[in-house]
Amino acid sequence: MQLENSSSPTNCLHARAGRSSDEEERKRGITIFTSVALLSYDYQGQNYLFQLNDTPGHISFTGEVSRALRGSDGVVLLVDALEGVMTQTETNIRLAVGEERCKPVLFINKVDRLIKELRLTPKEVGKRLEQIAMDVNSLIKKYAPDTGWRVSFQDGTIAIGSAKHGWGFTIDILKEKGIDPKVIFEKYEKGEEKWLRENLPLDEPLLRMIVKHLPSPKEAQPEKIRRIWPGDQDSELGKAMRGIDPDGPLMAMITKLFIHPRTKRVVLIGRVFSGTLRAGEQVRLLTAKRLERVQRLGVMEITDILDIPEIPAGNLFALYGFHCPAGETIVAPDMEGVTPFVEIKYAAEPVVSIAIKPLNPQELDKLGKWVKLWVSADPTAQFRIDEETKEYILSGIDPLQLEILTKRINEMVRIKVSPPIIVYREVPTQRGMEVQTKSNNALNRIKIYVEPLDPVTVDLIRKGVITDKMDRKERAKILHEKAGWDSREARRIWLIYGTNILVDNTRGAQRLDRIKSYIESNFIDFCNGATLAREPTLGVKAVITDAVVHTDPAHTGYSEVRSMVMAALNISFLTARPRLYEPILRIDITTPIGTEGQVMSILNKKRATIKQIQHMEDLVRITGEIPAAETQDLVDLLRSATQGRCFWGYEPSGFRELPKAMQVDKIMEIRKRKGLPLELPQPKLYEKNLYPVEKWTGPSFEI
Amino acid sequence: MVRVKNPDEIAQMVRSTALENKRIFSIVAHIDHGKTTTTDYLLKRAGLMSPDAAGELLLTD
Ligand SMILES: Nc1nc2c(ncn2[C@@H]2O[C@H](COP(=O)(O)OP(=O)(O)OP(=O)(O)O)[C@@H](O)[C@H]2O)c(=O)[nH]1
Ligand SMILES: Nc1nc2c(ncn2[C@@H]2O[C@H](COP(=O)(O)OP(=O)(O)OP(=O)(O)O)[C@@H](O)[C@H]2O)c(=O)[nH]1
Ligand SMILES: [Mg+2]
Repeated sequence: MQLENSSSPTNCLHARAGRSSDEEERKRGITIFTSVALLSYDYQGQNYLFQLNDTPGHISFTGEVSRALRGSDGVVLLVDALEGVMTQTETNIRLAVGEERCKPVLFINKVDRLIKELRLTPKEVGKRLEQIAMDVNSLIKKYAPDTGWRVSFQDGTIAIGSAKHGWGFTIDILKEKGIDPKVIFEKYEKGEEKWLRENLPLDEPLLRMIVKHLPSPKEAQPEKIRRIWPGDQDSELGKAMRGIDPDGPLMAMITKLFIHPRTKRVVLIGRVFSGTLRAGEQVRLLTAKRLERVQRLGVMEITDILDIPEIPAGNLFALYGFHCPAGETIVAPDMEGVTPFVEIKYAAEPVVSIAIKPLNPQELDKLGKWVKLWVSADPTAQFRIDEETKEYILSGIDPLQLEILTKRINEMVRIKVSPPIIVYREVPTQRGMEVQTKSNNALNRIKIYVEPLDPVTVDLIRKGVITDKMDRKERAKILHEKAGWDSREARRIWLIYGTNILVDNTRGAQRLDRIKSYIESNFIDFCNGATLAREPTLGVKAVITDAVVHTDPAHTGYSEVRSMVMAALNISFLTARPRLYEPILRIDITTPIGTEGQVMSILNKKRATIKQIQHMEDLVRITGEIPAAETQDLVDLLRSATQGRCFWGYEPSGFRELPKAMQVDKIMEIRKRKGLPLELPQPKLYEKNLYPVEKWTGPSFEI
Repeated sequence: MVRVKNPDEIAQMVRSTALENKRIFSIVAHIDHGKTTTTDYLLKRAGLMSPDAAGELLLTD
C-alpha cells in the first residue's frame, strides 16, 4: 500500500491552518464539541467515504459523546498505553457498545511513552498492551454481553502506535511488511522516529480496521433501529429503516445542534434512517408537533456545511432553517402520530449549579433566549428561573461544563455569574402520612401521600426504559413486570419528572382532570425545590388518593390549587423521613509505587471509600468513591503528594445520604444562602390548609 | 490511501446508494488519550490540513 500526501485542491474544505474552530478548545487544549470530518479512502480498489466524529473526553461534555454515538455505526475506542483504561474509557464503552450498539475496534495510542518515558522492555510493553486489551474486552462484555463483540490483536481489531509520532500497526500489517516489533525500540533508541513514520504510517492500520471491521450503515442499522426505535419493526416504516430505503418514508433524527462559535448560527446535525431529506421541503417535527422547512442541506465538515440538496438514508446531514432541541425526530409532513426515536441516553445528571443574571436587568428575556438555546443543544445542562431574584439557575454535570456554557452566553448577553454550588437531593426514606388539605378558599380538597420510589423504578427512569412521553399501557406493563407495580396504579401515572412520579390513584374524583395541569405544575415546582432546603428531589412518588374539586371553575384557579397541593406535598414529605443526599464521584487514581500511602491518607480525610487497589508493575491504581463536595482542593493535594506524577479520572456516580452529623448544618447552610428561615421546616407551617381541622397534631420533624 | 476529494465527488459519494462503501463512526476515549491528535493525523494525511497544524507539530511541545 502506497501512501501519498495529495496536494490540496482549492476549495472551502481545505484552506485551514488548524482544525479547531473554537477559541476555548484551542486555549485549553481539550475538545469541547464533537466535530465531524469527512474522509475518503481507497482500499483494494474500492473508494470509501468516512464520516468521523471526534468526540470530547472530559466528563463535562459527555453529552456530546452520546449524541455523536446516536448517529454512528461503529466506534474507534482509543486508550492511552500509559494510563490504560480510565473512568471515561468505561463510560464511553458503556455508551458506545452498550447503549448505542456501535461496534468497536481499539487503538492503543501513545506507545511511544512506554518506550521513551517508562523505558519498558519489549516484554513489559507486550504485557501492558495485553492488559489493556483484556480490560477493554471485559468492559465490552459487561455492557454488551449479547453481541459477542471483542477486540483482538490476532483479528486485526486492535492497532497500536503513536498518533503524535505518526506510526502504528496491526499485527497483520506488521507481518505483511515483515517488520519485527523490536525494530520500534531500536528506532526510538537511535532517535529515528522518521523511519517509523515512513514505514509504519498510522493511517494504514486505522483505515484498514475501519474498512474491514467497522460495519457499514447497511450492516449496522437493522440492529441499531431495534435499539433506538420502539415502534413495530415489521411495519412499513420499521422495514424501511432496517433496509435503509432511500425511497421509504422519511425518518431522521436531530442528534446535535452546532452553534457556530463566531456567527452563532444554529446548524442541526443528524442522521437519515430512511427516506431522503431534501432541501426546500417541509418536514414534521414529531415531538414539537410542528412543520418546518429545510432551507439549506448538506453534510457537516468541521464548521462548514458542504451543500448537497438531497441526503438519502444511511448518511449524516447538516441542515439550516429552523431550531429544535437535540433528540427531535424528523418525518415527512403527512406522518403525524408515528412513534419517535427513543431519547438519547446521557451518562450523568446535574450536580452543580450556578446562578446567572444579566448585568442589565432589561436583558432578562434576551438572556432567557440564549440560555434556552444552549440547553436545547446540551440537555445534560438544565435551567430554571428564580422568580424572586430574577436569576437563571443553571445546573450541570461539572463546574467546567457550566464555565464553558456561561462564557458562551456571556458573549451574547453580559452576565454576572455566581460561584458553582453543589446541588444536593432531598430524598424521602420512608412512606409519609396521607395528608388531606384544602385550598385557601376552602372550596377544594385533596389527599396525597409521598413515598420513596423503589430503586428499580428509579433505575428504569434513569436508563430511559420508562419515560414521561411513552405509551401509557406499554409503560404500565414494564413497571408491573420489572418493578412490581400494581397494574392499575401504573396505568394511572400522570407525570414522570426527573426521577419523580406523580400518580392519580383516586377512584372517580370528579373534575380532577380540570385541575390536572395545575397539580402537575405544582408537583414539578415541588420536585425542583422541596421542603428541607428547596433542593431538588430524588425518587419521590406522590400519590393522590382523593380530591374534591368545586363545580365552579372560578373557585379552582391556579393559586387555590397550589395552596392545597403544596401544603399536602410538603407535610407528607416531612413525615417521610426526608434526608439530604450528596452527589458522589467515582474516582480512579493511578500513582507511582511508593506514593500510594499519601494518596490513601488524602482520600481518607476526604470521606472517600476505597473500592479497589490494584498493582501494575510500577504503578498502583486506586478506585473508590468520594463526595463531590470534598473534591475542591483534591487535585492540588494529589499533585503535591505525588510531585505531579499521578493521574486520575472521575465520573458522577449517583447520590448518597449525607452523614447524620452533617445533615442539619448543611440544610441550614443552604437555607441561609437561599434566604429561607434558619430553622428546620415543620408540618405546622402548613397547617392552615389542613382539613378538616386546621391544626397539625402529628409529630414534629427532626433529624 | 487517504484521498482528497473535491466537493462534487464528496456530494456524489454521499448520494450514492453503495452503502457498503460508507462508514459512520466516532472516536471515543478518556480525556487526553489522543482522539484529536489521531483525527488531525488522518486529516493531515488526506491533505486536508497543513502538515504543521497536525500531530507532528506537537513534536515540538
Ligand atoms: N507522547 C504522546 N503524546 C500524545 C500522543 N497522542 C496525543 N498526545 C498528546 O496528548 C495530549 C492530548 O491529545 P489530544 O489529541 O488533544 O487528546 P484528546 O483525546 O483529543 O483530548 P480531549 O478531546 O480533550 O479528551 C496532547 O498534548 C498530545 O500532543 C502520542 O501518541 N504520544
Ligand atoms: N417545597 C416547596 N414548597 C413551596 C414552594 N413554593 C411555595 N411553597 C409552599 O407552598 C405553599 C403555597 O405557595 P405560594 O402560593 O407560592 O405561597 P407563598 O407563601 O407566596 O410561597 P413562598 O413565597 O414560596 O413562601 C406555601 O406554604 C409555600 O411555602 C416550592 O418551590 N417548594
Ligand atoms: Mg480531543
